Amino acid sequence: MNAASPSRAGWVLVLPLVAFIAIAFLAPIAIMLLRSVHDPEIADLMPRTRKALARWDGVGVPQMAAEAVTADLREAVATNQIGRLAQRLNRERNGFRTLVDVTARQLDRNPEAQLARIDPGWSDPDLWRLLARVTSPWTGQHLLNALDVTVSADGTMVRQDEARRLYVEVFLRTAWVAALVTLICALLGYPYAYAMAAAAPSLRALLLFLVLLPFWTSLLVRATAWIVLLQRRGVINEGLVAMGVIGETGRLDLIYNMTGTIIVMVHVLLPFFVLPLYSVMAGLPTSYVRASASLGAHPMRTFARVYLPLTYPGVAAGGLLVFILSLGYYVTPALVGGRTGQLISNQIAFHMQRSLNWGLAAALGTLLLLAVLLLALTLPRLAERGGLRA
Amino acid sequence: MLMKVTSALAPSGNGTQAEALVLRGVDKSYDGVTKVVDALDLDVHPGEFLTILGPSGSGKTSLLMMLAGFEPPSAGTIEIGGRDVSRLPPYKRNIGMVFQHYALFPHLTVGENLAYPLHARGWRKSEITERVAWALQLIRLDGMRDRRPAQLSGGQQQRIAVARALIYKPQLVLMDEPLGALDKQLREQMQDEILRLHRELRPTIVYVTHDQSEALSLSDRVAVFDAGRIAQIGTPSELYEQPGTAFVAGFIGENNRITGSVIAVTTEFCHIRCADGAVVEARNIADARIGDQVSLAVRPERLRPAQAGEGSSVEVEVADITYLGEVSRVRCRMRDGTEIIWKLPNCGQSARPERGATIALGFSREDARAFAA
Repeated sequence: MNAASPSRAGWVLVLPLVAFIAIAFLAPIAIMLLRSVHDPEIADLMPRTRKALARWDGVGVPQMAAEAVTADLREAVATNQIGRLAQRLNRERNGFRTLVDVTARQLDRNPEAQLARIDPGWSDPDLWRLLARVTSPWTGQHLLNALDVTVSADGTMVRQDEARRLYVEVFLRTAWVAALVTLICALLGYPYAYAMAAAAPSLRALLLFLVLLPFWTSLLVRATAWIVLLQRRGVINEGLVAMGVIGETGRLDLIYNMTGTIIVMVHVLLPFFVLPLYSVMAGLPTSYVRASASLGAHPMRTFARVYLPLTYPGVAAGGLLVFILSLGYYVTPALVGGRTGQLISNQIAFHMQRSLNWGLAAALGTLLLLAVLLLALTLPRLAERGGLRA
Repeated sequence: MLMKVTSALAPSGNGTQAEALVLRGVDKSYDGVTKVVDALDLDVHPGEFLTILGPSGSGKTSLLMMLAGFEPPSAGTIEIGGRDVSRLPPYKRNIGMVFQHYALFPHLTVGENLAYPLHARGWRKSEITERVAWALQLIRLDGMRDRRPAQLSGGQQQRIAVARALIYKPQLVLMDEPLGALDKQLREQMQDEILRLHRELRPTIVYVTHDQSEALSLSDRVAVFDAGRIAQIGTPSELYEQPGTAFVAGFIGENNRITGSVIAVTTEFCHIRCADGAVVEARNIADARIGDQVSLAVRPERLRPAQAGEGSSVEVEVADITYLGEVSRVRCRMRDGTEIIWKLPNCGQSARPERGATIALGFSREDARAFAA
């Protein structure tokens, strides 16, 4: 056996796992993310148009492309793809479906018909510029959509109309909810982790059990339990009414809105804050706190100047974990978020499952992933610097 | 400037000053049944270096925790500088403490560590800067102010920990096995350093250790702890030369143990018949009477080859000899199997005994002490 063999043996051992991750995890993600910038659907249906417009200078109406469009439309009719093409083009520009349908019908009747004669719409240079853009398989369109930016008729990027803006607000709302959930987890989790670290072994085991209990319960069961508690005729509202704290008409809306999302998310994510923090606290020798006390520092000063800075790595680790998990949270908002408590993941799911706009779903997912990567790379460094200075 | 601050650190006034530390009837029990510290009375004088010496489990750490205020006494009172602190939390006791593993705050620089107790006491910024500079100079680590503890060696860290505990002139400095984490050579350097600081600043120090050589070389007085009680308290030489109990005799330095029964008693001395039949004379510490079983303690370096008609002697067989430089350590066995260690100075003249030889080892009655068995 030479010195290199153990590490080589190690590689062989992890190979199945690496292969599994590559096939079942990395590849699907990569393919999905690719969809956000690569959309060959129109290009595949209009190959001649694509070729004809590829070298067009973008000025006026390209006469040589009209023939290509005619040929592509005819073939689409022949292969029964015309409906799909019309619908797909309509997503790029309202009214495109009608134009394509009318043109296809006319071409069917009169194979020699000129596009511009069939419909004046074909004389619009903007339409051709749009066609040139959407017949390219590579597109920034979905990413722009995901940022509420649209390309105007003359090709410049502008913000979406006020009424059609959506995703930036959802992104910001998601970030805000994640920050709020992290903050609440910190406020609830720090004392709890401290109690665990300071408790006698038997009590510590009980506290640890209580933290881990949610992990052993299905997410659905927990969400349902919260619904039972929080709904308008739920345990809490009934209790408050029975005690006379609130009137029959003053029942609190605790669920199916942002409040519900936040309450349940905090409950689900709290262990992710408590456990890393607890491990840091448990590993901290008591002598630091004792040294501080023996040097004459009031317990408040000991906490602020010694205990908190020394447990800061745990706060940073737990906080980062909760924040990142919150950014991508899906199930809880879907179950208890109602209409106002939806986050970016719910939008992604909507486009995956309902609107079937996978390109947009992929673009939203890409932006979310980039945001998370950015945070995961920068926050620990910031936290470390802050912790050392504290 | 150095001199001025140094003199400011020395205890003010003299003569009529209260004891630095007074313990009266202090008990500590964690379960209400076993007393870890048992009815302890102790007085420590201002400026004194007192060492609590004892094996692990003797209650010395519990005592230290009570002095620092991390554990309340189960009974009794603790006074520091004439003030009853029995129920005061640690931060109100005006003590300094040095921990075994330094307990320097890893997220603060050396300078910030030293400034920490001064900040806690609300000193002014300029005073703090000045005092920190003075402390760094005192422990000869001037250039280290902006380093973090992890960047320093163990010895440097412990010097800073000591300086941090002394910097604000606490009425009492507690040291919890401060040299335990250091290697042997560093430990000796640190002993010198602590002695120097004690000489220069004259703080009252209560030092806890299980290392008897550390206790002997550092302390003004040593209190030997055994099972929650002080077995004996005295200067290092008193403890070594005149151990009061068999425990102290065995714990401090090396001692040979020979058991036997008393056959005759004079005023201060007694005659003892050893298990192998030899009759020897020893100081009667135990106040033993004829027929009592006693345990005889003799230091290995006080043995010598027996001269006819002089002192007591026992007959032993030489089991093996270890050459240690200044002395040879001769392991011998009495006829009944009792092991006897003889430290023989290597002066170059005396003939070294042969392994397996039977020799007679003698000692004067002044050097042998008989304790209750």
